[in-house]
Amino acid sequence: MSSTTDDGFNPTIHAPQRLRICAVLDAADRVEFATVQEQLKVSASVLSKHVSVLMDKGYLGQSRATRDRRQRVWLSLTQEGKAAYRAHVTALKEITGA
Amino acid sequence: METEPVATRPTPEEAAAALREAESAQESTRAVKVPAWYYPVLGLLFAPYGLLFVIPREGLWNLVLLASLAAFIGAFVLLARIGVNQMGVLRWLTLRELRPVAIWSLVPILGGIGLYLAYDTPWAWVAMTAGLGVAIALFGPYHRRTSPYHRRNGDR
Repeated sequence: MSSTTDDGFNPTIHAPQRLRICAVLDAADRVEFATVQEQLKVSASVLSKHVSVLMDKGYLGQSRATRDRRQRVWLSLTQEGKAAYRAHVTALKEITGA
Repeated sequence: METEPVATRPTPEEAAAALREAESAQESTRAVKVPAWYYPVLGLLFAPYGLLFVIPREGLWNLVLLASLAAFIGAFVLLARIGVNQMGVLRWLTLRELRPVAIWSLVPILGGIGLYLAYDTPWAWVAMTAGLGVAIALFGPYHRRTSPYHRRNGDR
């Protein structure tokens, strides 16, 4: 399946959890993995699976930093990811007729 | 399977629901508040910055100046890092959110410039940065209470 249609609708991003993940990350420069998990109220394993899918598409990047002597993962949308998410939102708005 | 792309295009109702979900997720992220201590500490760090302008530019004082500048920058970076780590979000405030402090800051800025022009003294900059420090410190509680993104969930 192609990653996007002509109007920007993106089947990969449209999956409910991934759309919300992209929405959270589009609202900030970077968000900690645990914060995304808390915002979306999903388990770490579920979030990890969706993060992997988005990373495979090149939409999402992650970095690591130490806090309280533990490695923390920070997530951010790539430029491609931001463009794909925003195009997808535009496509959704067109579908609603808004 | 949950991780597979969504095969079918949504109906207008489904698209509208998806947009509401996305907007709700974004609002929750924007509603994450800066820690209460952050802006007062930032203001406290910024306030004495004007003293750099009264340090003599000679001999060992140059080293003091460089060390002070390095300490200021290092402290600011450390403060930002601690604040972001505590929030779990790195988000720059919007121009709308920053507008109050930008307006308040005009008072010490114009006052400092006026003092300098009137008295030709570097202490005018000390007064200016002290005033800016107060403006920044006061911005924190104001922002926590009035940001358009914070009203939805109350304290977080």
